[in-house]
Amino acid sequence: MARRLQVGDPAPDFTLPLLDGGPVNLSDYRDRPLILLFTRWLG
Amino acid sequence: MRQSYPAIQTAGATVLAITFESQDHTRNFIARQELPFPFALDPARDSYAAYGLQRGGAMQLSLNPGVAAKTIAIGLRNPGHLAYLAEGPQHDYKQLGGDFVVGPDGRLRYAKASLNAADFAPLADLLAAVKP
Repeated sequence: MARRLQVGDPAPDFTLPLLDGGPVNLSDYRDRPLILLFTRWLG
Repeated sequence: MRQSYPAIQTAGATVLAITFESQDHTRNFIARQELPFPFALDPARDSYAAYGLQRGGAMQLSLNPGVAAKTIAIGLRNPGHLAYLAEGPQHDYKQLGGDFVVGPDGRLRYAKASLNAADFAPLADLLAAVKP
């Protein structure tokens, strides 16, 4: 488990499948700020 | 978040959600909540680990008054929520989430790992982090 991230840290990259198809990489979002929401359980 | 999305777009940011839930469950959730932004799937939770997001304990989940109140409120509004909880381990209700803002330079402008299941970043904090 990575340490708790802080402001100023490089955001860890990822490559994941989108629900609607196709991969998504963090590096795809370099043209504007990205709000990244990690969900808890979707009840 | 649905109501906040226009403000986020106006501020010049975009949104991506990452979930460990199944494809079908996520799709149903998005439809119920009418969410306008994309979801990525990470059932292995590798990205959760990379961002330092952990599973909670009893105090963060069931014994926290805020979490208990929120769970009851959701259950009263949405009977399917209780059925969800009854489905058991396929839905890991102990996994905590988090909210981050990543700048175009790839660095974090905001980082919040949820302390409990009812702990979310205030919209004002996210919008402030989005500004150049």
